[in-house]
Amino acid sequence: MVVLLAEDDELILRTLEHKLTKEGFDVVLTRNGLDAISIIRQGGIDLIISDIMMPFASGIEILAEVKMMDEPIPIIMLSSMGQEEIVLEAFDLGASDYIIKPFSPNELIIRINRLRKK
Amino acid sequence: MEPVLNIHELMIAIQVVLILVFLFTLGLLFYSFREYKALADKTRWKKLLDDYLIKSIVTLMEQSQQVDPSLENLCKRQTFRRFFIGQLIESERRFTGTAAKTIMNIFYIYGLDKEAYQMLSNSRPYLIARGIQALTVMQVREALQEIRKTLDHPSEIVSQEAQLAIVYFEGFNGLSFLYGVETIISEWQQLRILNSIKVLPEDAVTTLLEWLHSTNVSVIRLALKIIRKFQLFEMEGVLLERLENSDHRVQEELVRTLFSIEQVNTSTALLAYFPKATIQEQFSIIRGLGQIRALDKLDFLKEQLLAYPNPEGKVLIAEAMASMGQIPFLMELREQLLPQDQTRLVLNHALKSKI
Repeated sequence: MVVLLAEDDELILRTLEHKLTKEGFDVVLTRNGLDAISIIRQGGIDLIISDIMMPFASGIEILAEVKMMDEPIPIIMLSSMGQEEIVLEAFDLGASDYIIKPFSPNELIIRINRLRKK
Repeated sequence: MEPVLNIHELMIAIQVVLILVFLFTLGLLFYSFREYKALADKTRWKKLLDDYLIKSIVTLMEQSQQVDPSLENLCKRQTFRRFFIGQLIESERRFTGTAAKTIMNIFYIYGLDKEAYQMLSNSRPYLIARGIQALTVMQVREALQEIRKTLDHPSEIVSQEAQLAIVYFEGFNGLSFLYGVETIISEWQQLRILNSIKVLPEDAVTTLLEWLHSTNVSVIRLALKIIRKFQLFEMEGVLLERLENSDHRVQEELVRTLFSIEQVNTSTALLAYFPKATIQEQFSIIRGLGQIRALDKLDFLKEQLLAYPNPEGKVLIAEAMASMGQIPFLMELREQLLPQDQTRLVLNHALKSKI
């Protein structure tokens, strides 16, 4: 399973990269929203984990891109405290799940596995 | 007329200037080298620590960590220990659960708690604040007594960090410092404190009542924010009574809070107060009516839309009515008004942003 990880916080990005790799996922990394959209357009991504606030294009814009696809890819949003309204917008656009930072990497893995079972 | 300096003296003066320039350049070079080395060290340390933290979080989350000899060696340097503390604080803010516990464990196994304690007695305020922050984030409850001593520190960054630490450890009860605080607690600090209070004790209302009578405006504002956050409906009557006797700097916050804990008669009481209210309070009342969609107060808003003297207030009234689903009425009214009528211009503006 190929996971696209879009996050501009280096420590979170690299921690999750290691954690996901250890759990057996193939991970594609990007640090900005625009690159994430271009990777999604190339195809081959099974799951997206994206921060909401990112340079060049936000997680919401990534969601809008995914929504236009024939077979939308499940997407888990990472948001900070106090972004409740954006989270609601994300759900409206079809986000599969969201996690509020600070978060537990273990919890994220549980949520990914739950999505896989669906 | 004799020259001021003879050749010999001039030569000496030039030599002195040259020596000074040389010494200055040497000093500058030395300083730049030191700064460069510090920066290079920090870049190297950051990479080293990031790698170590990622490895610890991912692979050792459920195991007890072992001390890394190279990090232990670097920990002999105070600058590294302080840098390490900073990195741990930043990392701890990103994670919860086992990952956060792993970070806390690292804090202890390298003896960084001792360094954080030492920072509390430093003379530089930013280091004291950093020490408080570290001891708080790493939940060193035993440090509370030491932290409490810094509450009255002349530096704001220290006293604010101490306030936050106490609330972090003791929750609402930690706010007892509000009784004696004379300085203004900034809005940002109020929000940080508010965020740290998770539950209210049973007798919180009594305490809040006392703070509502504080002579420090920022204490009253914080009390109002707490009432809003925890939806203390029973405070409505008290707040209505405070409306006319409050400092103008808290009245807006008071109106906002009243709408947030609104009861059956709240908006009626606020409308009765409306003529006596300041312009800013009137704006808050109008906004509040829109937010709670007070349809029973539509007649009042319709009347004010034509009669209110201030165009900014008129815009707010139109926006409040639009949020109550009155756009068709506003559009119809606009058509009835003359092109140069101020209310028509206001409606053009308000409807443009709402439609």
